[in-house]
Amino acid sequence: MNKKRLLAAIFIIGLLALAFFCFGDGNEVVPLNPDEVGKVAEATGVTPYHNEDKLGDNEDNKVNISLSQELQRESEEASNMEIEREEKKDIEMEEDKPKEVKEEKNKEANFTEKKTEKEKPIEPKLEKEKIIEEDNKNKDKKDKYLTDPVPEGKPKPVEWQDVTINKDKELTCTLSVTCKTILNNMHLFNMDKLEVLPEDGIIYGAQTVTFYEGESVFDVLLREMKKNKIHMEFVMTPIYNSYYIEGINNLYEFDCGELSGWMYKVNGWFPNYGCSRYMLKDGDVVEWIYTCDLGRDIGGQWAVTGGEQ
Amino acid sequence: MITDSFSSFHPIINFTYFLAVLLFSMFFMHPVFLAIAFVSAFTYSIMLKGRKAVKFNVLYMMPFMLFMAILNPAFNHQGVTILFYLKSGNPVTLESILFGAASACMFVTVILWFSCYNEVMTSDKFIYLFGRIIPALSLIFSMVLRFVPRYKAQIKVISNAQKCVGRDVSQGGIIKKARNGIKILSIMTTWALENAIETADSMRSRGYGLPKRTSFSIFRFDNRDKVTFTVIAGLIAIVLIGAVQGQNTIRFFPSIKTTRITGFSLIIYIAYFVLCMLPVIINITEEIKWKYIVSRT
Repeated sequence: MNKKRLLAAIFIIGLLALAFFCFGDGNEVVPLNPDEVGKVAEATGVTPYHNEDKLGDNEDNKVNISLSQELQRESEEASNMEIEREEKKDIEMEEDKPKEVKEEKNKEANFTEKKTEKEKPIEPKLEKEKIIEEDNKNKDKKDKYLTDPVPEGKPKPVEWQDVTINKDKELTCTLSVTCKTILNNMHLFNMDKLEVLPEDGIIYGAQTVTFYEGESVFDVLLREMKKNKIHMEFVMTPIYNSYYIEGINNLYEFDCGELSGWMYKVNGWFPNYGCSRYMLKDGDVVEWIYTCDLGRDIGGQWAVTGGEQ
Repeated sequence: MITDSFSSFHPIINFTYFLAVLLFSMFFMHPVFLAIAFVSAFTYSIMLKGRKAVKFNVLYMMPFMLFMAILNPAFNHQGVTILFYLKSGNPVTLESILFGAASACMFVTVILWFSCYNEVMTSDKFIYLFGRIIPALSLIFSMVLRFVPRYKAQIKVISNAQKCVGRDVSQGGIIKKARNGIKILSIMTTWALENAIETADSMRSRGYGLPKRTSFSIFRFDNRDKVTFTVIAGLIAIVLIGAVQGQNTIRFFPSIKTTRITGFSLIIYIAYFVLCMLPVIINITEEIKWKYIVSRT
């Protein structure tokens, strides 16, 4: 009797182990390889020309856009440098940490710099502990809406309550909404939403849009989506004093794995604060990009994990 | 109101019927299924409780249904058909409105089924079914279901007794009324505590939960029950086949989509209709039979 029970217990444990190893991987997010990340960025960069050709707009705009693109590229490089510097600082600070961690960090730094080396899978637990530790360290540096310090040279968050929108002063910026990473992660995608997924992953091709002085990224997105009859849902998050974009074009957060959702990028940088707190300037390039892996697949991990990566 | 002969069937049939019907109306959101379940639950509740049910359904359930249907699009903005924008900037979509209406209908249907369940599955039937398998749980379950009506009746008794000595909540000034009310509540609490102990003692002294005990009511699983049970099982099987094929569900987001209606789906609809209407059908045939016998004598 006892033997039988023991056997049954072993059998059940074996079955669970089998199930774990066979089906456990089904939900895991497969990160895109760095080539594809580059491709995504490139493609979004190209679209303005493409779109402009289609519209046949005047040449002034073209020049503007190419200028802004150059700016974007420069700022991208700058941001990468920024990140690198930060990491170096971190490493210096954590001198007494084990060597392994440092090595890993260096590797990651290389990754963000060159985007050629394949991302080394880090132990999730270790990563989590590191993030929590980093978070605790930065506690006094955070502002009252829990935002980590913004890197030098990047615009500081502006509370939308303090801003008065000046309707007389019209400015322009470039806006695009894309979800190309979904095309690479179709195994995670909610198949009910297949009909709303654009084939090329572009929901709103890059276009120059006008806005009024003092408006945030959120205001511009809302106005353009309404104007173009593209569906969009958002919710106010008081703890971060910003609107959170739940879904655009019926593509919602969590529709492509549990780490998916919408992120935004201004002039090639993923801000680490909400879209209602980013006050736009003339000529800014705003990109709304869908991520399937908390920004890691589109090169925006820094905004999510804070000063960690 | 005619006598409910479905209640006179074996408890296992009553229980299977309600279990199937409740689960089906909870999970199948297809509009045809919702309509069938709603109409059947409505009819059966009126058949069981008469005018009281009509009043309850129209006065409470209909406004509740409307409220639920309006509530959904205020918070859920999914869907491809944008009708208009809310003041906040979020869209109101056709899909979310229809989903709200469907879920409200489902909710009300389930409530109606439970009101029928309470009439048919009395606590002695429930204890007959589960008293031996799960004695403690089935007792608790039947006590919980009886809790509110019982206390309501007892409060009425106490209140009437207090009225005789001029101490009811309907007598005196506002402070006196409050004092009387609190007094009644205190009597009620004392009675409830004492009654609980008495019940426990009484049940223990009668050996509740011991093996080989018989129930208060004795039911026989006769030929009529066998036939009905087979019919119910067959209908459930057909509906489940439809569920496996995906005929019974509907996708609301991002756009509304159902599987195409074929000849077989019509069979499933009819099977579901017969299943839901079974007590009504049984009651009507019994009534006709009775009238026929009466007219012959």
